[in-house]
Amino acid sequence: MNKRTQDARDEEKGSWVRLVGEHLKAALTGLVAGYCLALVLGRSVWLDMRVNVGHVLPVSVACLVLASKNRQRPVGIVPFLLLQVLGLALLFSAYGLSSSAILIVPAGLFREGFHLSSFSLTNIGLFLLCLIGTVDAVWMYAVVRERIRNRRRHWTQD
Amino acid sequence: MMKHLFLLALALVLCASFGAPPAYSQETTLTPQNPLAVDMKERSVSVLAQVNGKYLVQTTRHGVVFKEGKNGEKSVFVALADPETFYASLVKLGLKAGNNMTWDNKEKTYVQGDPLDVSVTWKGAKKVYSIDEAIKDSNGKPLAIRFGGNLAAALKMKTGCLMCLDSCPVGITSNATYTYGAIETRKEAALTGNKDVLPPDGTLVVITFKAKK
Repeated sequence: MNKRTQDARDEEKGSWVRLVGEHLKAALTGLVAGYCLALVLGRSVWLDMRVNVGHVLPVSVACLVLASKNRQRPVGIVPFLLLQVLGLALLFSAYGLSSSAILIVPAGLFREGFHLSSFSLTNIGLFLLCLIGTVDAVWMYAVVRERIRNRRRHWTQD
Repeated sequence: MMKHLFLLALALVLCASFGAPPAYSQETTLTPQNPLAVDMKERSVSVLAQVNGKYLVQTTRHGVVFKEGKNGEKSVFVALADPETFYASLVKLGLKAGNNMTWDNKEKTYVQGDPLDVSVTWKGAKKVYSIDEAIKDSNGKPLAIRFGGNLAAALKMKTGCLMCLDSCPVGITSNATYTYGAIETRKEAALTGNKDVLPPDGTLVVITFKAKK
């Protein structure tokens, strides 16, 4: 196999992974935005008893993925982090500062929204906590690394 | 970075897919295939159900609902037995249904019918808990569960309701402490499962409805 073919394959693989990564970031931003909306709607007992408020989550995920695809512009880390802060504020204002509020309420919405009735709320809650925590850490690391690299490049050019 | 992100997300999804199945109660002969038992001597009906952890934190007006009913995900306890069998079992015990709730009078009428003592237990429970210990009322009032009847409405609406937390024109049994709308619209009370008493989400419990002496 010559080097050119290998490089082309690597590039193709890289672009595929980048595409999945961008979709994942858009999907998670949509999920967190959906949580903020669902938490506001879920405060109404009347509404919660009549409709599946969790359905806001898949709809929001789909909207963000489609929007990021159409705009050809990657989702930024700032809205993702700000939505998380807003979500936590809504959660704590409604249910108080407790571990059950962080784990159970988002897990309950997720289970209802995605119809995962065979999964326990604790498992779903831990999964969501790990997923969002990991994405936060990896995404922030990538942003910081990119900035340092740009600064070094800038210094080198100077 | 994207590659790492994708692989991490994939690993997390795979980990979560190995969710533990719910524990089964060993203190009863009830099973998911045989989720209801009638004890003629004790004049009681026992129903197998699962705890819904969501309503140990959030307010609901649904106490026990059949899992395949429209409100199957809206209750503290998700029953594995259906309303029709439950109704027939209560009638078999010789209990009298109130059948006094209608769509027109529901907000001004308290459910009637024979009163029931409701209790909850599960594998590893310290004791049999009364429904007043298992369900928390923000006003601290005890629940007064009565055999409301309402079979025709239950079959028509297909909500799956076995026990509602306020007087209801659809639920087979409901709480005579409040009229319909007290929890949802008028905010007179907020009822949740008691997370300090009840076992975690998904645990199988046995709910017993016994004729009051």
